[in-house]
Amino acid sequence: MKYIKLLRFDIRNGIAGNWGLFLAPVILAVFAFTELKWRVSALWVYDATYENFTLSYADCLVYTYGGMAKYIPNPTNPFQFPARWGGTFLLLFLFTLSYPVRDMHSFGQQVLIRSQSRLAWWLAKCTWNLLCSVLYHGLITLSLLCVCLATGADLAGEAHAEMLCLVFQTTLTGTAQYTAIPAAAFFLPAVASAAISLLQMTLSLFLRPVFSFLAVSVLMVSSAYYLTPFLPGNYAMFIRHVFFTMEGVTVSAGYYASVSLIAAAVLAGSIRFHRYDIIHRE
Amino acid sequence: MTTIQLKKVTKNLGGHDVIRDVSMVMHSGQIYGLQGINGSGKTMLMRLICGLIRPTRGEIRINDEVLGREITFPKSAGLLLESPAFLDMYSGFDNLKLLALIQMKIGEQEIRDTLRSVGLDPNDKKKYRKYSLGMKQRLGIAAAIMEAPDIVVLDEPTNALDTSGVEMVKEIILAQKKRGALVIISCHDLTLLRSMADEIFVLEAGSVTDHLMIPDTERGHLP
Amino acid sequence: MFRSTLRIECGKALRNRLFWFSVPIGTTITFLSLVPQVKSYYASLRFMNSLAGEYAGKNPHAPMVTLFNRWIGGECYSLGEAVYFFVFPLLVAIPYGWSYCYESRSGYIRSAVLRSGRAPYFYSKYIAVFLSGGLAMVIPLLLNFLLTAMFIPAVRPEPSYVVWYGVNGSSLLSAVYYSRPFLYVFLYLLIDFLYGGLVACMSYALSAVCRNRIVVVLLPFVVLLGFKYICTSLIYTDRVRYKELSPLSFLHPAAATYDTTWLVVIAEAVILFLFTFLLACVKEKNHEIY
Repeated sequence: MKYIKLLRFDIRNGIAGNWGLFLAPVILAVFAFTELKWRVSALWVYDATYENFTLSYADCLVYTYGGMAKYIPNPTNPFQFPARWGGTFLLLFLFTLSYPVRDMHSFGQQVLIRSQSRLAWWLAKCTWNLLCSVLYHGLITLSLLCVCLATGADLAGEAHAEMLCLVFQTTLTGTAQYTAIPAAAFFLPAVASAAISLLQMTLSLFLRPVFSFLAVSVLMVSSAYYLTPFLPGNYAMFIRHVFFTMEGVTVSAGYYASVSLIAAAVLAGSIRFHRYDIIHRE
Repeated sequence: MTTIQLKKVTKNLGGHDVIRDVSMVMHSGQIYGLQGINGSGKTMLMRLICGLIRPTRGEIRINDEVLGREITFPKSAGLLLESPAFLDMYSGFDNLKLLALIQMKIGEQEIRDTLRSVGLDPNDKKKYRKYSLGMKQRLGIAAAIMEAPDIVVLDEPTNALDTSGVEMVKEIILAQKKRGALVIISCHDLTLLRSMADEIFVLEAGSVTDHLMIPDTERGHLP
Repeated sequence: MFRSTLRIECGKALRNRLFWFSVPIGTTITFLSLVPQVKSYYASLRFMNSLAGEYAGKNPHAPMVTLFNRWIGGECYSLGEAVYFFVFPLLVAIPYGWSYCYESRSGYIRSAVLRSGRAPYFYSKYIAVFLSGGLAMVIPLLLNFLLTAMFIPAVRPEPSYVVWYGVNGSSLLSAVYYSRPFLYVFLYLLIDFLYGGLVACMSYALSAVCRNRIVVVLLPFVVLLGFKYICTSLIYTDRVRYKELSPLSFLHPAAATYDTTWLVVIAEAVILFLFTFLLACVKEKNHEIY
């Protein structure tokens, strides 16, 4: 019961007042769609049919969360971090960074004492964090849907795997050659992002918030650099799923890993917060 | 009936003992003063009693339950610690209402009465960010007492208050004692402290160096 | 008055804990480049030594591997390089970029300005933030260069091996790279110092509009990332012959993909300087202090 009250409080103060959480996804979605349209129309050099190609909603989702193809380190192959993909996730991590710490050292102290339970406070914050991720990515998908509706894109069509591989400058070696991409796959980037955001919040109990953001940024760059199931950012990149690349990560592994990371972050945070000294540290 | 017992409590922060071997017993219906210079450990001791920080050694018992083990926080406590912190975009009344919704012990009428008792207008729609320092302090005191907690902890409650404000604080503290609360206050003004407190613990470098029992007659004589 | 205020501000900037956190973190990141480069160099040496006949122990393609394309600034394919040139906006703002935000919120600015005057306070803080940011950017790079030099020889780059260097004929300072490579490294470190300082000053300037210390430190990173995204979008339009505009890319001494020009480097530095200086040292200086 206390947990529900604390959660309602966090939703009111940590989500409703956070205008960036609402505005950024819309802007990102519009940019992603526009960019995809440009890039597809530039593919006419490979195949003339791409000049007036009709995108599908699934194409837009895959492109927004595409990331980059597997990187093979080589002096003649410089590493280029996918800025839009990285920015999409790092903005969410930025929006969810300062609220828990700020609240803990101000009004939240009054709330904490009245709630009588550190665990309830922590769980409410974790839930708030997850809700932010759901809202953020939900707004991206909704905005993409609206843009597709407005521009006449195919809402029900499947993702055009070959076209997307051309856009991401890779070869289609995965299962999308033969089968459609399952719906469950489209939720995985949001789930992986929620896990990393929660990891950041837990790290803020051990490090200063800025350093936890730095750690998560390094994690995202490392995920883009290495294709491995051990770096959670890979699950947030569609182009590294097994549908597009043979050596890719699987959806089931993604869900297991993300849920495990969420559980571990919540548990580690609750243990840490149980003994945490709430003093305003400079 | 509330009892707070501190047994050889030590708190170490960053290799430095900010509270050292403090033992004390406090009962409800009494006002306890913490007196000492800046950095003597008064605020830290209050944090320990409220459960915001955990002792490095020793234990704190509230009604025989060990704080940090059997209970996480005192079951009924009101706190004003350092400078008051509320939500900028709400009025004073709305801020208190948000807090009251957590334990649901009081309704809007009690909040209004508390605001009036600290000299604030409950119908004032001004946002907290526009409050003066004195108004913020009054709101902080209101938050600490509005739910009639068993333990009231006030750190420098007279900061930023004018003469009438100081008198208001005195009346509030005495009223809390009268209803049976255990009140812990810290204040730089020893005269003021002696006019209110039943017992005063003098702190120096994190240790209790003196324990004064203030007779009723002394409290009655001072203005 | 200005000199004493400057001394105090520089002392605060360079002797604070965050500066001494940021530099080791940056240096640790550069190790993610140093270690694999040294490992692969020694692996290739072992291979050379294992060859029989007249090539035993000799590498006919010696200029292919040199200090100048194996230090973090000269290569563009290690994790260390990828991470460092991505997170440097954070590393340069962490030491002292937050100081104006903190001091104006805490009220310290009132005591400081009363004693020093407005102009000395704001100008010396700008210089101190600039210095701390520039040093936080350059010290890890310099350390990496020196450490790499302990393992990999400084063979002068040969234009015929251009494909291994990432510095081609149209790259900035390419003539210097092939004739005086140490000077090239020095000049690029100077450019990095300049931009590291200016990016740190962005935090200072943005404190005028944002009162959250955490956000103020992160904003330059967000701005530069957003700018890089816009730049990469431009690449995909066929209307523009793209020159590298994003500091997240062109501050890297080995251009590797798109080249930049002096016009871009100087223009962006001037714009950054004007924006940060006008906001921090003109607008804020004349603003009321509460």
